[in-house]
Amino acid sequence: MIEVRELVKRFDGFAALDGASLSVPTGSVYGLVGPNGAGKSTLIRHLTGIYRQDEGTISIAGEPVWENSALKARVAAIPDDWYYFPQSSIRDMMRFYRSFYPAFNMERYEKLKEVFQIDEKRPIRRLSKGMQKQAAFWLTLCCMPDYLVLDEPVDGLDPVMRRQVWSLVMGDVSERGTTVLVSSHNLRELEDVCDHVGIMDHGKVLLERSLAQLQDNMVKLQVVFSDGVTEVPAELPVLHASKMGRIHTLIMRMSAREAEERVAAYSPLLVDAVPLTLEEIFIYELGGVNYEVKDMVL
Amino acid sequence: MVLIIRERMISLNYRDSRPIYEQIRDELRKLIVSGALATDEKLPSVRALAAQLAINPNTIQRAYNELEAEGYIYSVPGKGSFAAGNDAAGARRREELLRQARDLLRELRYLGVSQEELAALLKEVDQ
Amino acid sequence: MKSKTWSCDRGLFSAGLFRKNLSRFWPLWGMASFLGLLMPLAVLFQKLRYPELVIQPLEVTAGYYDILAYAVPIVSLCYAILCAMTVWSYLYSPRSVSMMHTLPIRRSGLFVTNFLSGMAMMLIPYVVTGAMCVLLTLIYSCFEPVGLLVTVLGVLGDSFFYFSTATLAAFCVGNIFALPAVYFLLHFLAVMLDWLLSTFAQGYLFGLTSSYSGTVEFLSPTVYLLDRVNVDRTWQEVQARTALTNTGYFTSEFAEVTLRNFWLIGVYALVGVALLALAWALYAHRRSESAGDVVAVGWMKPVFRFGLAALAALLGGQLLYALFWSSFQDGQYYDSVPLVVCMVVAGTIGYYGASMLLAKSLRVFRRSWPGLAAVALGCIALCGILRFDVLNIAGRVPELNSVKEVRLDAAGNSYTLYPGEDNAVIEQIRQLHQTIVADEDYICSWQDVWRYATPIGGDEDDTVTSAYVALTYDLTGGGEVRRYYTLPLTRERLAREGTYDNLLDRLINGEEMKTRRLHAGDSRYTVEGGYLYCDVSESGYDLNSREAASVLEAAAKDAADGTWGTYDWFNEDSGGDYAIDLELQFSYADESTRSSNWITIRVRPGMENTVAYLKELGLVTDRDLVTYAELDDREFALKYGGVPTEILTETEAAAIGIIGGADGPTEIFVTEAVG
Repeated sequence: MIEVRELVKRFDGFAALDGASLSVPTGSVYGLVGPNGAGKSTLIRHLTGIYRQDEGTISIAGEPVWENSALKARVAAIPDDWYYFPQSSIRDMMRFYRSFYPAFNMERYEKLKEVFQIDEKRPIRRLSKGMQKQAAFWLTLCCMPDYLVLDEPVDGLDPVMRRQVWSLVMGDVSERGTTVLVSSHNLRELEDVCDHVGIMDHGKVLLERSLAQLQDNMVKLQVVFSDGVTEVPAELPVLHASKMGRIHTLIMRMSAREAEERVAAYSPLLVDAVPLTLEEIFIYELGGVNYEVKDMVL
Repeated sequence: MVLIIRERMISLNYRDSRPIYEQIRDELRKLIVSGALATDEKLPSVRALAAQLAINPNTIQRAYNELEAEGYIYSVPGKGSFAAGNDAAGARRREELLRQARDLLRELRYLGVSQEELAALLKEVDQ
Repeated sequence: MKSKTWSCDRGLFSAGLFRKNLSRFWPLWGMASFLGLLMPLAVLFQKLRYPELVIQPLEVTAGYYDILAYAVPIVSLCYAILCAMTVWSYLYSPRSVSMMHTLPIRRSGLFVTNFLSGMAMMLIPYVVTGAMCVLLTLIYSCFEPVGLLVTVLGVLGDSFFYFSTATLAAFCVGNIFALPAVYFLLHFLAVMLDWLLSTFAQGYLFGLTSSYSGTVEFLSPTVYLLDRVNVDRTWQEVQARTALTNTGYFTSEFAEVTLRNFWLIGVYALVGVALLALAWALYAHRRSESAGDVVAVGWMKPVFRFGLAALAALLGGQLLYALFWSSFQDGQYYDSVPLVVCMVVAGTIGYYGASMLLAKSLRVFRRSWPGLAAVALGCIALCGILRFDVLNIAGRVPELNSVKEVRLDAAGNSYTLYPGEDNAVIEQIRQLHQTIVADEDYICSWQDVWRYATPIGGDEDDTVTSAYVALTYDLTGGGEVRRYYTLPLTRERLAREGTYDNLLDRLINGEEMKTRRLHAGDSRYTVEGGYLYCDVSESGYDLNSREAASVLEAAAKDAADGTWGTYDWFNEDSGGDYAIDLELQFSYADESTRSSNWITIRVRPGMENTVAYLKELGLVTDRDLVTYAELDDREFALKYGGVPTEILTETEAAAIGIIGGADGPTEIFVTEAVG
């Protein structure tokens, strides 16, 4: 269980985190999404014990993270710019990590060598960016962490490798109950792997829900009203409405069934409920909070 | 994304805006209905499927739960999930399909398909 | 499967990180080890080439001590910063500091492990070199354990101290380029400020010069260590016999070598411990996000900003003044207004430069007026204090009970006086000093005249001469007061009582000072030997200690008779001295210092005792008793003719064709047979 409560962090007066709170249940995969500059990376750096917060608490498995080396031994992180020693090969880094992480698993290391097919003796700086990222996953997963914190993890990997990496992570989640926090812009991908989502903006977590809740509670309704009705009735609680010809597209914060029932009262000619993608949910959730979203034709 | 269960390919569509668990659920259901998954045949474990598809295991679990609720599969603790017979198709599913059928029929009628044509269609399916 | 190499919960040390540091940075300590090895290898090759060369254990020790005293501080100074730059480099990039602080190890563990890695890197070259030296000394039977042990301790102390300072500097900054800058600044700030302020004061205050005062030298360890930790070699006069002819002769043998003020290294090592504790405090509170900033500690930022401004004002201000205004300068001292302008300009540049470095941007001009005003006020205040001598520095003459030593340099001699035994003389000196200070305007007016013509020694102008006087008071509370004056002396004032001219003359030509010039009666001075050279016979001779002591005695008698030692301010010309170069060597020893001291005795006609003794020794004959003036005349005659012939030797007379007769030489000198 990862618990963050009212975290505040200021850099030279600017509040990068302004009372952020989130909660990641054990064994779940939590996607942290937000626009650039929302504070996702800053939050992640608190989780891994790099930054110390100005206010608020942060704990993993019930214990505070700061200077807690026993806890950190169970937490592994892959930042968006993973660091390796300039002259080291993967094998060198493996030896380095092995001396720090008690649970480091050599069998897994050998197994993953077959999976990733990268020369372990080659200096890492000679590998392509994508392969460096793979190396980061390789080494991190061998640490057998109970908590995995990922910042833009699959950025730069080809689709095959992406599948491969997520497949490994999901395997860990289902087999060992690893808790994963992943921050990304790629919502399409997060939709597959996450079961919880938190949306962050301007240093605060605006909302967090399980994916199921999010998906079940917002619906996109395409409606053609009967001839008498030209505009959307005002009583209908609509997050967003757009129109093309006679087809109205309504975004409503309720289940599909409920939405259809409400609209049915107006005897529409045509009603079609479409579930929203995470991307759309993200845009519409933020659209209500001073975030400029231009009218999109969806 | 392609799911292979015993050489039968199920393709899941990226562009499909339906949630993934719905797609999995529907594809599995199709396999069971068509007979490709025989009665009492074991489905892949949630864990294996999650790793194979690179999908959250909870999502897989949800699909399985819904299929179980609809009566298409049953699970044995410690052993896994198995395909149930066709006869056990649930009432909920029936309603859902009837609803969809209603929509389709309405559209067909709108397009001018006659009742005779619809009757012929029904006969065709039964054979 | 648990890995066997895990050590995270032990907390303070990570073997993996230690190994990684040493393997990553092997080029540094490897290269240093190689360079260190060159020295013993060179000695080895010498020994192989000249197998008969015998190396004494004492020489080995002396060699170790020389390296410890004169090389190790500088080597450690430079090497420590390199070690620190490698070991602490992870703090200066966000990527690397993130990785290090994500690892399951506490910051205390990182601190200890990295510090020990750095110390290991510092010491490996010494271990390698030392092992090689020990090996060689064992092979060649010149192994000396005590000297080795002392050297090892000294090296440990120095290395620890310097690396601790480098570590402290490392935690003050957030940028790898700032690290060596801050480090060297820390190490030399004291002496630099001392020099700058002394230069500054010299431009304003009567009697000060730009030589730096050395009062805070202990704050610049390298300078202080090089200065104070010295190697003393003692030589012993031993009677030996030549192998071939079995004649006796005296020679000096190397008897003993000691390392003076070795305990200072221990003091600095203790200081290193304190600095290390401070460094730990800084690291424990260090914010990872400071990676990349020039100054990493919040409260140090204003110190940096204003400190740099102050340094720039002092250094740059005087530089600008020297470039642009010094040719317009009216008089000996700084013109205040132009100097303040130059200082404010330089200080502003320093202030904005520091602000730009801190902000990492060029846009720092908004809202900076208060700071700038402070800088300007500081410049004006400093100039004001010195211009009006608010603290009465120029007029300061320390009280008798506040000095522990007084030194007077005048008339080519240096005198050291101590309270207690020399109270009377010190009082005379103080009175002289006060009189000089009172006459500041008069003296300065002469100095303005002399600015365009160097002070002259009375050859051409017989009424005025100049005398250079330096006074140094060592205070009991530590610190020093030093004053230097170039005083105009006139015959008229010399005769007038109460003037500094008169006081100076009475002091220098008094009996007391005459005896001092010979160090007679001072038990701290022991006469060791001397040297005699006669220009005419062109022969030199080394005096041994007994001969030198006797010469001294003779000279003292002459002084008592009044035939030696009176200094003529108007005529420093040595033309009237005999063409004999007589020097005596003394060794000086008290509780804290040892040094040697040479005095020159100018032998003049009339010094009967001295001349008699020299003749007795057979070192000087009548032929040598010719003055420099006469010698010049003779040489002139040889070149151009027309000189009294009675002083020519037979050979010279023959050379110019005069021999015998009424006009011939009155004496015939037999020259030595050649060949």
